[in-house]
Amino acid sequence: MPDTTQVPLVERRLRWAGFLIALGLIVQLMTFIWIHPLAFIGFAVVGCPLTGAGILLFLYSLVLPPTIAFGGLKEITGGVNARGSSSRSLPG
Amino acid sequence: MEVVFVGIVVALAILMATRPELTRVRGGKILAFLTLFILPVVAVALGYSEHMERATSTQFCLSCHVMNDFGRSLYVDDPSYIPAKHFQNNLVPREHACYTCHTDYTMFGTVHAKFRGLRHIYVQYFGKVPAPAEIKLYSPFNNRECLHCHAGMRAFEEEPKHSKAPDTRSLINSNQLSCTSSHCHDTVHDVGTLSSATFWKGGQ
Repeated sequence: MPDTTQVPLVERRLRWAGFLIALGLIVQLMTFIWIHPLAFIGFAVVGCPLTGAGILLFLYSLVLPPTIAFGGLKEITGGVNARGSSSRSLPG
Repeated sequence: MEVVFVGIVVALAILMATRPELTRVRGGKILAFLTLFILPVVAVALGYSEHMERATSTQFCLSCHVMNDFGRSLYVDDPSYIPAKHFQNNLVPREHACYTCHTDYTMFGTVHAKFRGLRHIYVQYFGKVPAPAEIKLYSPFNNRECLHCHAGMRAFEEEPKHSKAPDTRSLINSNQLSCTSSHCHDTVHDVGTLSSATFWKGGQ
C-alpha cells in the first residue's frame, strides 16, 4: 500500500480526477451497447456527472494552491517544479 | 468512431490516474490538460450526439413494451392506415419512422420531443402506464408535420378533395382543418383494431 502522504496533494487530486473521468467514460461506453431510453438515462445521470466531477476536480486542482504534505511537514506552494519540490514552504 | 475515441480518452485518463507524477514536467501538464479537460468534454459531447441520434431510431421508440402495438401497426396490410402506408412504401425512412412524423418541425422541435421522451420514461417506470389503445397525443396532430413533406407535392396539390371548398386549403394550412379529421385521413395507428387486421410480411 503506497504511502499517500508522500504524494503531493495536487497529484492526488489529479489521480481522483483521472479515475472519475475514466469511470464516467466507461459508463458512457457501456450505454452505447444498448439502444433503449434507459441507456440514455444511464449516460445522462451516471456517466455525465462522473465525467463532469472529474473535470471539475481537475480544474479545482489548477486554481487552488496545492497544500502538500511531505512527511509531516505541511507545505503550501504556488506550484510544483520539475523535480517535484515546492517553490515556497511554510512550517506546519 | 465515437466508441474508439472514447476508448482512447479512457486509456489516457487511466494513465493520468495511475501516473499523476507525469505532470511534473511541461509535456505532462499539457497531456493532463488535454486528457482531463479537453478530450473528456469532446467525448461527452460526442456521446450526447450519439445518444440523440439513437433516440430518433424506430428501434429506440419501440424498445418500450407499451409501444409494441404501434410498431405492429406499421405492418398492417391496409393502405388506409396512414403510418403503415408511409412506412411500407418508404415515404418515411423506416429506421426513423416514428421520429419523422412525431417531431415538431419547429426551431426547438427536437428538444421538445426529447423532453416529452423523458416524461415517457418517467411514466413508464414511476407512473401508471396506459393501455396502448388509450395512449393519446399530448396535443392534436399538427398539419405542419404532414405539410413538411406534402406541401407542394403534385399528388397533394391536385387532389380534388383538398380544394373541395374554396377555403379548404387555407383551413388545412392554418391547421384549422386537421389532416386526420373524420372522413379525411382518419385511420392512423388505430391499435385497438389490430386484432382483426392482416399484416404485411415483407420488410422485416
